[in-house]
Amino acid sequence: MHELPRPISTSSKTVQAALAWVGTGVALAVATAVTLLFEVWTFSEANLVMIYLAAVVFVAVRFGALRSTVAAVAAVLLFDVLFTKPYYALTVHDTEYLITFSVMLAAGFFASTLTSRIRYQAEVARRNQRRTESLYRLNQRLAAVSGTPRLVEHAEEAVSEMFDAHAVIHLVDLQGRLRPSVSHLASFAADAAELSVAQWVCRTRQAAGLGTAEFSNLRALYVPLTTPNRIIGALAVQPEDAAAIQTADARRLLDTCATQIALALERDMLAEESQEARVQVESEKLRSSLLSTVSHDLRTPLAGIAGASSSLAESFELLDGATRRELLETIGDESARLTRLVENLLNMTRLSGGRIAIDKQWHPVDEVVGSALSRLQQQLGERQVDIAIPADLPLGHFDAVLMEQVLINLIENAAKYSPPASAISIEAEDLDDGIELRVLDRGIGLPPGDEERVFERFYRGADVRSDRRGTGLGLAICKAVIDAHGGRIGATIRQGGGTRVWMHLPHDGSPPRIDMDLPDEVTRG
Amino acid sequence: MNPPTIAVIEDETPIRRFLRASLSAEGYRVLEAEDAAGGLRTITGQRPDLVLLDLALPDRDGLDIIRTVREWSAVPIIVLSARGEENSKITSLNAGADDYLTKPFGVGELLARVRVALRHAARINSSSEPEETAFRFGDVRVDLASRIVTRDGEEVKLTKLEFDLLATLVRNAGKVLTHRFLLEKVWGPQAVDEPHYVRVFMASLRKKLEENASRPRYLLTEQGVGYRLKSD
Repeated sequence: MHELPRPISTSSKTVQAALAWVGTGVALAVATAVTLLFEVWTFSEANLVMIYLAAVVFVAVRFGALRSTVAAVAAVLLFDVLFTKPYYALTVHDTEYLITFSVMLAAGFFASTLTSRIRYQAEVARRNQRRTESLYRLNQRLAAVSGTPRLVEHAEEAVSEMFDAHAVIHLVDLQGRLRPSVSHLASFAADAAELSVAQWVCRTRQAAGLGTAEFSNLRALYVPLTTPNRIIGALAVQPEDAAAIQTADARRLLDTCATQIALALERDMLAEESQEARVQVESEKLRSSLLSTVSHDLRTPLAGIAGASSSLAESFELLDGATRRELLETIGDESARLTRLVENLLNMTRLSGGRIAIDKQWHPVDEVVGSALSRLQQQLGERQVDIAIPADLPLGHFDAVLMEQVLINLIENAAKYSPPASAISIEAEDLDDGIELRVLDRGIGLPPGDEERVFERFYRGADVRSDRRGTGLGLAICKAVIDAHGGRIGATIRQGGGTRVWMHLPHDGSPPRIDMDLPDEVTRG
Repeated sequence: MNPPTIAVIEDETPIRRFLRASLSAEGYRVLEAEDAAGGLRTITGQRPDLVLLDLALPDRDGLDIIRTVREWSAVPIIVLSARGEENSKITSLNAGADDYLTKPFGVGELLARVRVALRHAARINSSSEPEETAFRFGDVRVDLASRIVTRDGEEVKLTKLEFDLLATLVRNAGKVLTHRFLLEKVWGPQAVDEPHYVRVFMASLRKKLEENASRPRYLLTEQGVGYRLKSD
């Protein structure tokens, strides 16, 4: 896609000029032949000369003023020699020919001027159209994407195509520091000298490099990306053909492109900045509500522990064995509750801070279910847990430590919100596009309309008894973990009563092949 | 015979107090140190039979102690660490620690780990004593010499790799074994980066040997670290 007419090389120019001269010759030859033909029918001289006039006008229109002048001279000479007495002799004996000659010259001149003006206007119109088209395409490409890196990439590609060049964009941050382009096209722009020119362009907001007054020894042209409000960066263009980008037209087009790219980037940056500001407000709000919930939820088990241990310490002899044991168990249970709370909090801050690297490996799903259940042994006691995991379920690709936490939270919830005599079910299923894991209970179910809200931080069912309270962090962590795996999680009311929480983990590439070996020969006694 | 001596290197007084109380009650002699320097002095000077080591010490990383001690001693070391620190658990096991306890832990768990570690050390020290070849867990009996595994008296057919995996677990019963260790022992050093091998073979061992493969009672997962065969 070459959007600009490339300057015609010298050799093809000579060829074109030669062809024009040949064309002129041919036109005169044809005129002469026709005139000869008509002369047979003894047309008058005044009419015969018209044929030459036509040829001169034709040359003027096709080949321009110079050739039409030459053609006019040649036509007068030819006419004089061939068609006026004495034949085959050059005698301007009649002043009438001077008039004929002048008319021919004038006609040729006017015709060629008019034509070249029209041609120039057509060329201008064509260029304008091409410019409008390429700008339109650039705009379309910029409008189609969001996010600074994608915008930069598209802009670089579009400009590269438009100017038949390598184009890269260096951005500056709000402090005016240059952030060099990471584009694959950036090879030429990577060295320190080029970057310092880019920095200079951003600071002075002036173009530099190829074809400008500053740093004109460079092979690339640098134009600033500015908007009325700020400097965005610099656009560096290194054309294949250095001359092509130096025409006034190309520079105008490049400047327009720069403006549009700058505006698109500014729009995007403003959106990102306001998003960041929103997130900040959100996380401030989150922090304060976290503090208030957490301090309450930390104090409750602490109060239990402090109370139980102080009564043991102060009235040990007065208490009977059963009461002592009960108080000790309170301390144990409340400590376990505190531990879980702290673990969830820790996971939440890690996940939401984005500081935790997810360590995805291939795992059999039943193993992580098993390890979650074994960590819940104490809370579950003799509780019935039905597990339905197909033997041929493919391996899942996940972070087992986090997934275990998800299952622990879900199973613990299921146990907490359902009658002790009812069973909890854990199911897994291989779907076309991933593995679905479900935790089901026969409990109080979800308040209708709260299916989405249960995964929000600090959500709690409305009429939950206070001894069942948690921080409302458990499900939010589940969602954060599943999100981090590119999966989905949801809750619905279970058929026949209770809650059904489902998780969908996408197949993440195909599981590795495992070579199972043959039965051990030695064990066959 | 003197009771075994256990060195507790831990900077938190409440935890030290709890460890001293429960270990003394079991008849162990307890030495205490509250930082790495004191801990190293205790280990070199008093030659304990076992070390309980907190990884987060005020003066030096507990990992340094493991490495220093391992240069000249094979004394069993059990690391105390928190959940969510799976990587530091693996690092300390690779550096030569024998096992770990995840804080908070109960006395039962503590004493079980201590017993396993002492038993292992005793077996290694008295190399003259022939290795026991038969091992039991639940209703499963593993004979390492004849490579026969029975469950409820019935023979269970295992593949070669399954048996090798089981044998490695049996020889280190009660101890946590990292994925890396198991891969190296059973599959060879070229397989250490393929932890899913262990997982898949572990799953098939559970199907053959556990009553309920989804809720194993003996072939236990130490999530993020490795496996442990529970010895009763």
